[in-house]
Amino acid sequence: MVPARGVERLAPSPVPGDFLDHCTTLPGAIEELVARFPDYECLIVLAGNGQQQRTTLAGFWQRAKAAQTLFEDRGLVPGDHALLVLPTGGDLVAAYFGVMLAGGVPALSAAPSNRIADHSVYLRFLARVLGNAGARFVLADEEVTEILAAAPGPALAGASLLSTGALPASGAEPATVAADPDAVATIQYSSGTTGHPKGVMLSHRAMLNYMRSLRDGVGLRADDVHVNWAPLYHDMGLFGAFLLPLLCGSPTVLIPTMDFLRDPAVWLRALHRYGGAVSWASNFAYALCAQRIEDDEIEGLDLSSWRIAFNASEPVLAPTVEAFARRFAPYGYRPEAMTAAWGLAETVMVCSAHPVGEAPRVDRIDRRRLATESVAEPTLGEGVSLVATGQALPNVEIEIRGGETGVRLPERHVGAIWLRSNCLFEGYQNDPARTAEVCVDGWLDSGDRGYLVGDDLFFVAREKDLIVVGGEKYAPHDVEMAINRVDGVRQGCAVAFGVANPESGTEELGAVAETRVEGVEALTDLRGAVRREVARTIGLGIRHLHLVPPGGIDKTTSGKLARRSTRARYPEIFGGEHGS
Amino acid sequence: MEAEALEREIRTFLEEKLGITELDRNTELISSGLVDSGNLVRLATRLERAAGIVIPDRDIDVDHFDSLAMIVDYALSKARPEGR
Repeated sequence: MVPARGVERLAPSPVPGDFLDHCTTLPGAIEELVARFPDYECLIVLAGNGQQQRTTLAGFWQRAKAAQTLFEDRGLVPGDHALLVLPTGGDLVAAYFGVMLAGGVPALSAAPSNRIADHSVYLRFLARVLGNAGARFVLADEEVTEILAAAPGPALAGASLLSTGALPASGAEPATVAADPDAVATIQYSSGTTGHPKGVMLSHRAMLNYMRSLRDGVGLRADDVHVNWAPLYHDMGLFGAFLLPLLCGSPTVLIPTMDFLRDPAVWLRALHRYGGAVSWASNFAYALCAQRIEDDEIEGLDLSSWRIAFNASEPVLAPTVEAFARRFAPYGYRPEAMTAAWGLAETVMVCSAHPVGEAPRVDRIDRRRLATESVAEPTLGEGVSLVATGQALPNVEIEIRGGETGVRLPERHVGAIWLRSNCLFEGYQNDPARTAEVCVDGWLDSGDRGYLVGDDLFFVAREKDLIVVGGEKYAPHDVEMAINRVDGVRQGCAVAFGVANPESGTEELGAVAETRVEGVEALTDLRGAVRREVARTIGLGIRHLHLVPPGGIDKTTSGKLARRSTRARYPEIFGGEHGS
Repeated sequence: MEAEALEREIRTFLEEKLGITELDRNTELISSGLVDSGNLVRLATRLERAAGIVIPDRDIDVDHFDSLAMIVDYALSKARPEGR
């Protein structure tokens, strides 16, 4: 049932606002925090039923040291990689630092949160991640341990499997292994459960630079209470929900992602309960809350303490921003709290953010000039509405480049978004070729397209054809492979792409496939077979599936699939690329 | 709640909230792609409330939720003490 509407004021943070300034490594920072403020109760894990588990820094340290002991006992030596596959909770945060305190490198990956993809599909994904990470250890909860234990040997790629059940609650306190500021501190596998895994390697220096830059750029205060449910294997969760507040000395409330998805009001009730000031979420979550939460679930809530509602990691949609403000204004939510931001895991997390406390900025531009000339011309008539994703954070430079030679483009010209900062990644794990593709002369090609107006960055589209559903990324190629496996589909003649749905605030899966099958009944059967195969292997339902005769799909002159132009051939099915 | 009333309530939810029409008791919901992961969680939450049961995260999957008949059977097995 709906819990009472009580409030709990948390103890003021004893941590000075500039604490991070002198820190050079993550283990060093946490060790100093624990030594100076052992009794500070700053970590709260909140379950959907309202039960909380509050932990002091000393308590957190004890669990991290216990995790360190476990890994060292099992043979972890400095430099070893350990993959953590755990839902948000005390085990994950303790193990993350436990590996680091032992001199190891934690890597994070998705748990099988996507309930539909079958276990064999998840196993293949995890095996690819393990192979790429070269991890010697996997720490997982009971559910994943069972899936892995039941799998044939190669799934683990030679890594030792540890279950959270083996984590001691406390024990010896082994010495912390000193870290090098320029060494890799974390590897992130933030793509969804499909695709070729991409391990983003981040150094201690980049991560700490990043946290200082964000803290100063948006004006975070040590007393801000952070309330989040974003999964910690995601950059937004790991940094926004966990590391940033922890190392800035702010209290942080962590809600398991599944509890939020089951009951989105949990998030808003927690903001009320703890006087939450900062949250991170992607656009779909704001749309979900605006649509689904009923009045009786949030009766009596006061959201006026909410200063920064970051909206990042998928396109920020103007209708969502408006709907959310309208829905929750009666509960004290201030529209200017919505802080659109843009970034990518390769720069740790977001690298531009809208000025805090200012209402979102919406640019209405001419659809035709955008499509034909890549120019964002303001219009008063019908047009495309884009929400500004803010201005570069301190120490970040953003450029829009275009043309054959990649020249810098003027204001309001749409091109590739490039950036440079002191928090760039060290490259993709075991993939120098891919790293070289995106890192050129100290600059990073974000793979996104956008334009600048003054200092404001507007995101227009992804250059790479990724599909992002509910903040999770999917590779079109994987969906196409699944479609191609179905009898009746012309081999190699299927394209998949995301179709924005302003109502749900995120993308849905769309696809076009060629077939020689004819007749209503046979086509219905084929449609069913395609949906089943995609649901089984990718975990997504195809909302818009269009079966066409041979020739219905565009290919480039070199024979590659042309997803965008194919999609554009069927506007009656998929709408325009920038919404209707 | 009785099986019939429960089935009616879940059917209404699928029709009205998820827009799934022409639904029979054995229509494949998940493996057909009709219900995606976000809506599956939503469906589970609705079932918890309707049947007064607690559904662990790991039960929210294709083995328990792939058709109206499976959903009702699952809810009844959780509601009966011997089903626990």
